[in-house]
Amino acid sequence: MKGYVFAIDAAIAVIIAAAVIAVSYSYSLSSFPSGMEWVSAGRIASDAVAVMHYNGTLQSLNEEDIESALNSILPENLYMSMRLDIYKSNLDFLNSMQINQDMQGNHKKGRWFFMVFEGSEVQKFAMLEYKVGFR
Amino acid sequence: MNPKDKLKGQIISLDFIVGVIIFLVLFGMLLTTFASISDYSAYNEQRREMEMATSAILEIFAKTQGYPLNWEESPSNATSIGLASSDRILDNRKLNAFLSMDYNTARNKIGGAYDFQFRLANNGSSFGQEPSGSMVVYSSRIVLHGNSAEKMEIRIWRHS
Repeated sequence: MKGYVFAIDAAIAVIIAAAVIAVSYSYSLSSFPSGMEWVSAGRIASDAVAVMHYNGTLQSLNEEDIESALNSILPENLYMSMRLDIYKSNLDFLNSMQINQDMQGNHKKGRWFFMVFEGSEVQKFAMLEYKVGFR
Repeated sequence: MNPKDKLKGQIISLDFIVGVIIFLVLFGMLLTTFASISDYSAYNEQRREMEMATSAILEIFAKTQGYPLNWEESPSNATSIGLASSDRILDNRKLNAFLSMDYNTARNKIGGAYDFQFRLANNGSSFGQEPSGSMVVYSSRIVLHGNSAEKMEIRIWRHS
């Protein structure tokens, strides 16, 4: 049995070294998010809100219209929820509106402010807060 | 001479040989690992660079009018191509001027480092070449075109 202790010692060392190399290899090849996909998701969410503002969908303050427009605009891999806090022209709080179920988990947030006019008169203000993330 | 004396010390050289073999195998694995990590880092770096490029191109397309502001009247003199009349609202004249440009001129105007394919998903308009190569990077933005939302897409790849 003389010398076996060295052989076991060597075997353990080899196993540890091989394991370290294998783990570092697989770790290096695993894909890390570059961060750009979150930047892109944030931009698309901001685009969606801007477009709905520019074509008047948001100003309708119609929950179904906004939800349907939002879901048709968004790419399939993204999910977005919105909360609108609506104020009268004298800044008294009027009501809130939730578009899509409030997003849980990892998300990026943004805000948009807009006014609703009747003729040239401001009727309402709305503060929109949105959350966007991946499905 | 006792035949047993000839074997004295052999265990040391066998031990040494086994040790060297194990060392060489591990060293080889280590070198392969470093080479792979280095290749993968280079791949990631290039991909990130291309993602930044698509992002910048679409940002300029969606939010600027280009330069000069009326570049669509003389596309070959454009120094920057923007497709918007204002923030995220597409200008049809600029869009048509871009779609009618010579491909190589358009490629040079948007940086020149990559081949590209530009597409409006809902409208179906497309400009550029069919994507090829192992690394094709895609990005999209949403803009207002007429009175409806339009998905503006770009794919880029390094030309061979």
